[in-house]
Parts: sequence; structure tokens; C-alpha cells
Amino acid sequence: MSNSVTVVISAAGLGTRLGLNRPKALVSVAGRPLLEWQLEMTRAIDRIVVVVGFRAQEVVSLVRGIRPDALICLNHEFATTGTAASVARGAETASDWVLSLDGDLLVDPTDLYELIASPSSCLGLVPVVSTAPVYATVDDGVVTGLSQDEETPWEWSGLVKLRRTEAAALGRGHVFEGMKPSLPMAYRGIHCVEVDEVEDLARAKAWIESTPRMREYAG
Amino acid sequence: MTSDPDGGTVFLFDFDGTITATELLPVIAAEVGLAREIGELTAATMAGEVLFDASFRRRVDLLAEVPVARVAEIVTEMPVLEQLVKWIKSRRSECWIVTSNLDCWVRPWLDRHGLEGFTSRSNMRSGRVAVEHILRKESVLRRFPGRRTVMVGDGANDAELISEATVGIANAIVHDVPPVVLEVADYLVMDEGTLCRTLSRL
Repeated sequence: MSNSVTVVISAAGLGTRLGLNRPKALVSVAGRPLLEWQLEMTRAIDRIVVVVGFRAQEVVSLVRGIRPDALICLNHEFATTGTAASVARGAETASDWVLSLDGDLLVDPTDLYELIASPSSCLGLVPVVSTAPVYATVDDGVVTGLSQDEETPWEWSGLVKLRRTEAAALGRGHVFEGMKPSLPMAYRGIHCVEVDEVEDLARAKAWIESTPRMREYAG
Repeated sequence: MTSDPDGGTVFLFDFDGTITATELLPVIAAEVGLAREIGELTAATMAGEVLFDASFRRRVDLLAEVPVARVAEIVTEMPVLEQLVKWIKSRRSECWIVTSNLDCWVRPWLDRHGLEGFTSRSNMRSGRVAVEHILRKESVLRRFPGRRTVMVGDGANDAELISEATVGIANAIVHDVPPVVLEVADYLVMDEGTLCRTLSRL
């Protein structure tokens, strides 16, 4: 199946900036853990890989209760490597395409599925909101640059569809650095919220409550 | 056993709790009314709470008088992970079972299914089964020098092989794996279909 997509969720991180002493994946937003939102939203996808590391057993137990058919990939170097290491590990046994979803990102399901259906590698972009964004330079309908220095109106959200080979070659640091060889790349504007700091929790709750498609998955 | 020295990936599988749906010894123990004792001792050993060798010798001693032919019967009746066994048989020449369980108890099952394996060695003394040599699972890799290896297991005594194989898969289909296995595995599966699909892609 040349078009089949594996969703790879990077849930290995510590979430230290949230200061809640638990993996970010297990932090509750609007009444349920982040990872639970992501797993409920991706039920229509056959192949799910969840990359775990920090407090792996707790995250595994959560996954077992929702998607026991998910493949768990263990990134033991979660404390010393960037997200790219998680995505690359998760992509090793994937199908032809990988949809890489950061563990701290809630995406509008409409946008998620449209990105999954994209015929080529594709970045999910948002108008700049973060304090330390990965700016995306857009030129003639494609993304030609990704950088933390060159200010542009768009930032990369943390959601991207890549070929398995591109995902497996991302390296061990930042995903945006690892993606540079794949540029120029197509993009879609998406709606999402990133849960990084404590202040984001209330913002995420408000976003969920005001996003109709999210309410569908509220259970 | 013919193996192409320049061949592809070698797939290794624990027996009790990975191929079989439950541990074998507690089921044998039911024959002599020792199911509870053996069950508790087995569970503690698989969880890594008790060291394997002494525990295994003790359990074999408790079961020494169960006729070997009866054990062979019990083993053939044990529920197995059917999809996994089917996968293994489809890749028969690349797969080996690696079990610390006794040859006299497990080999009849292996022979019946046409599979190769490494086991512990037993001997008979006055009609009682005894442990002659416990398999050192880690030594199995030395039989496949230079080969890419994949190990699938679920108990604490699989941890070293899961760690040293090229790819280690923690089998959590039937129960959670102990922390020592989680610390060294590359992958963990909770579903038979996912395990088989992953093996096919390795």
C-alpha cells in the first residue's frame, strides 16, 4: 500500500517546563491526558507508533487502555537527545509515509486528516504564536527555509508528513534541522495548540471548547 | 541445522509466556497439586524478584516425578499465540526458540511444529527429572556471529538477550513486562497482529 501512513507520536519527553513532575503526554487538558486526546483523534489510522522514554511504563499503560495495537518504541536517550531521535526511531518500522506528531500538540482533526491525505511531504504551519518559534520561510507556495533566527509570519507547528526515509534520517537533535535536506516542502495552514508552559493549559482548554471538531472527540 | 553464515536476520523467541499464552510450569504443577506454590515462585522469578537459577532448580525438583510423557501431553495442549506461531512457521529457517525450560519437556513440542530451539538440559535419575545444565540465554548470540538478531521475550530472564540482540522486543501481549525488560527493549507490543507486522518489517 504505497499511500499508507503511520502516525508517530513523540511522547518520550519530560515536560520539565510544565513543572508537573509527569510526562507531558500524561498532563491533563480539559479533563483528559494529552496523549489520550491524540489517540482518540487518530482512531481511524491503522498504524500508530508511540515513542516513549520518561516514565515509560505509565505512558505505556495509558496507550494499552486506548490503542493496544499501537507499537511502542522506546527511546532510552530521551534526556539527552532531541525529538528527532524519537521520530527517527519511530519511523524505522513504519509504512511508506510518516505523520510525525509532537506529544505536546493538539491539532484540529480536520487539519490532521487533510495533512495525512497530502500527496507529498507537507509541513503544518501556523501564524507565529510561540515564544521560541521555528520560523518558516514561504516562497511561491512552498517552504524554503526553517530557522529559529530569521523572523517570518509563519511558524512550524510540530506536525509534518514525511516519507519514511526522510523521517528515519532526521538525526538526533531538532526535527526542523533534520528536515532541511527535504526542503522545499509543501505546507498547509493548520489550527492547533501547543502545551508547553503552565499558562498553555488554560489556553488549550479554551481552544478545545471553542473548536467544534475537538468537541466531537471529547468522549 | 543449516544456516547460511552470510544470511539475513535471526529471530529468537522465548517460549513460556511468549509462544505459550501462560507459563508452563504452573500448569504441570497442577498435576501434583502444587499449582499455587509453583505459580507464585514462577511469577516472582519472571518479575525479577527471585534469581532464576535457584528458582528453576527448585521448581523442577518439585515437579521431578511427573511422568515426562504426561508433560509432553500438557505442553501440546497449552494455548499458544496462534498468529505468532504461524508467523514463525512461515519463516521457519530464520527462527529459533530460546528457552531455559527443559529439553525433555519442550523438545516434543518443537519437534511437532518443526522448529529449532535452544533449551536447558535435563537428565533422569531414578525416574526423577533433574536439571543438568541451565541454558545461558546470552550465549545463544555467540552461535550467530555477525548476524543481525531480533529477540522477543517477556520475563526478567530475557532481559539480557533483549538488551544484546540487535533489536529487542518486549512482549506485553499477555501481561506487563518487568521494569528490567522495559529498560533495555527497543520496542514493546501489546497485540499479536502488531508483533507479527513489526517482525515482518525488521
